[in-house]
Amino acid sequence: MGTNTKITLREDGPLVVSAPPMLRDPAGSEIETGEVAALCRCGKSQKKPFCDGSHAAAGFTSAPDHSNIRNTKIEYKGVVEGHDVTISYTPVLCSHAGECARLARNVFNPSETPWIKPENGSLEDVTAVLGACPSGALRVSIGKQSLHHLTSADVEIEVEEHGPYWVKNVPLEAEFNGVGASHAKYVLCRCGHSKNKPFCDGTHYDVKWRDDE
Amino acid sequence: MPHKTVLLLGRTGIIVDDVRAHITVSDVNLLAGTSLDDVQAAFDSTQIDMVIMGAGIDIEARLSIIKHIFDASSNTTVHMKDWDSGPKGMLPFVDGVLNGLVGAA
Repeated sequence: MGTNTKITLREDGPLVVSAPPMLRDPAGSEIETGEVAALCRCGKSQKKPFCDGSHAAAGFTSAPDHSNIRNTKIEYKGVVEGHDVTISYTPVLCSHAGECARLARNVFNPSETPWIKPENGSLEDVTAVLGACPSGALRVSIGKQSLHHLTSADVEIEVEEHGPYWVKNVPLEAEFNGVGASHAKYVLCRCGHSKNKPFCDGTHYDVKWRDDE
Repeated sequence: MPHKTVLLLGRTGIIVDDVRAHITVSDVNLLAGTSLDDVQAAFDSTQIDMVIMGAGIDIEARLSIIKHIFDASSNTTVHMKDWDSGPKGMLPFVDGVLNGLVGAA
């Protein structure tokens, strides 16, 4: 990452990435960029992930609608290998990437309620999921620790198929909205439907948005 | 007034947990589930006064759930949310139904 690497927001327009870090497509391959990349966030570009100006014709507005957001967390507590474990979940930050259920469905099972049961897994299960969660919606406390995210040192932007941008360790010039939001990993709306723009709030999943839209 | 027992059903536990954590009506005994199995277990264990169901559950599953409820009980009411309001509409819907329940009792 260059010292000038950052993401800025163009009003009613794209995300502008200066000195772009590694940009990956959904298959994990590197996408070539110039010194500045304009990434689509209206969901209408025919050149995704790049902006092609379609936002203007689509009437895209980038303003969030915080009146329709419950900015709260839910805490799930259990004893794991003799340790008191609390997992905190902030729904508005969740992009429904599904990494949690894929890696440890014994602990994170959306088909059950409560959907998080720390006591059903190991510390390894919990830490694997917390590290893989791309959105920062999940935080963990083990023993007397305070709630925290598990992050990596990677610096990149990954494009999720039919989903948002997964951003790791790239400065974002925007106000972070969401209880416990992380500046080291977060997800940015790509479909244009989020109420919590510029962040993804999982709405693409609810409206079944697709890359070829 | 005795507490009413309400079974809350949603497509995922994520939605149901969110509603359980934020409903504004406190004097109800709230059970939760996501499937017909959960409904059967709830009705086997206690008297359910009301079932509130989200629209994300597959339509065939919803119909099976309704059949089970009315086969199992003659004094349970069922309240089904619309589709268009989405998951974010679940809490306002549940709050509205429960406020009506408590207010009418």
